[in-house]
Amino acid sequence: MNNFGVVFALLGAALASLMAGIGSAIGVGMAGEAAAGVVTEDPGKFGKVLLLQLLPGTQGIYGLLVAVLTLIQIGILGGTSDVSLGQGLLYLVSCLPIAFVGLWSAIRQARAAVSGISTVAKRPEQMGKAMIFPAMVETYAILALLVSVLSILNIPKINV
Amino acid sequence: MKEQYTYAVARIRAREVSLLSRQDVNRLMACESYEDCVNVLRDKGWGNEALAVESSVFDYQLMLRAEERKLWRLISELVADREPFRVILLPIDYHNLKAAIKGYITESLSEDLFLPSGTVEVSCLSKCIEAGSFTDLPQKMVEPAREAFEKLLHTGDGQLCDNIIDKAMLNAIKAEGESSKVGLIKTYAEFFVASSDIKIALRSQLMSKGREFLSSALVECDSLNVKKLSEVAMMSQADLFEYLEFTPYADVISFVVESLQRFDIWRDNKIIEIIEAEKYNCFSIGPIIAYILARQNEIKVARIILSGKLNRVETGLIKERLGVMHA
Repeated sequence: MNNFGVVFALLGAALASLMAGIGSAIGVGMAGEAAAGVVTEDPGKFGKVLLLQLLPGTQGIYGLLVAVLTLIQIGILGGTSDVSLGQGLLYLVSCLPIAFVGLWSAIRQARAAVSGISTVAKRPEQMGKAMIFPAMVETYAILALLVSVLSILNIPKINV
Repeated sequence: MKEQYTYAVARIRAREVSLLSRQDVNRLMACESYEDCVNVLRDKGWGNEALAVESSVFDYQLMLRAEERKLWRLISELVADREPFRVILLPIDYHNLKAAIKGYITESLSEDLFLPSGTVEVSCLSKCIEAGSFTDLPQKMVEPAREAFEKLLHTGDGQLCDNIIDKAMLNAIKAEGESSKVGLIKTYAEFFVASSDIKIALRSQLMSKGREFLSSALVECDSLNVKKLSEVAMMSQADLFEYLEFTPYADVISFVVESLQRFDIWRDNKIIEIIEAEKYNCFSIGPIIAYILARQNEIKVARIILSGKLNRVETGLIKERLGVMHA
């Protein structure tokens, strides 16, 4: 019962890396299918479509970052961990923004990236514009990352 | 989960770049001779190496057939199942059925009568007709095939045979549209049936056909009141146009008022209009169907230009027969 704080904190870290990672895997896979389609017809566009394919991959990195930060904060990497139940729950809640926004934004960003890949297939000179549309979705993943990171860094200061 | 065609659509997008544009058509029109036209198309990758050396006088039909085959080869690479394309392939199947029946009865069966890429093998059609047993054909084809075969055999009336098979085709396309979950297939099937009904009504008026012909040829659809269409087709052209004015197909009037030949231009333009929305869709089967229709349209345009140039038809006259392009 005394260790439930660690359990919840670990659950938060797991959710952050799992959900954001799953989102990125789906997203990069989806964009990869489209990229492969374009490269089959025109191998010269490999570099351009690769950039677009990688865009939905960032959420997975954000999820990993939040998970590692949580693990450091709760001291689990050092082998000892002393987290109260209240703090554990706070860590769990702090991880949720990047977990959910990471999952959803990666998939939506992939859809925008696939559309961008279609644009590049027909109008390679519009590469810059095609990059901007999926990049806009990134904003919300970054906002969620910020909320998660700021919360995690400040939990030790709260006495619960 | 809805099936997604991300890879296939991306390949199609890359391919769309090489579709004939309005500029390409103008370039073809500006060609001095038939040979120049063929060379322009060859530069765009039309035909194949084997065709180039086949004969000194180039047969454009070979080139167009090669293009049609290329199209279906690409589609089968992208989507293994031909089911979603049945709505486009049905006219080929029913054309081949007509050709097989007529060819067999008039003892003039030849490979050239058949169109490639249908869902029913030509050999299967010929075998069924030779055996007088149609049970190996797709279910919807069995009855019309038997009826058309017997009518042609007993009456020798080729038009009656055509009517039976054409009506069966329209019913099959309508059923295809109704059972499909893809918006484009639904819209296309509805338009195909409705525009065919309009063409039947216009032709029946021109040839002073009776009520019997109309009821044997027209097929029910959602966007037209077929009973009303049949009634006005029996009256004057003005009555027919007045009725069409209040349907979604009012724009056909400006085309056919000059000549019924322009009906096909209207129909092709409308199909291009229908597929236009698929330019912004990246995941469903729609863009692939749109590409097939666009490709078939450009093959048709190339056929008009090449046959015109070969027969030294005036450029203005060729231009009149051309519709809009998808690219």
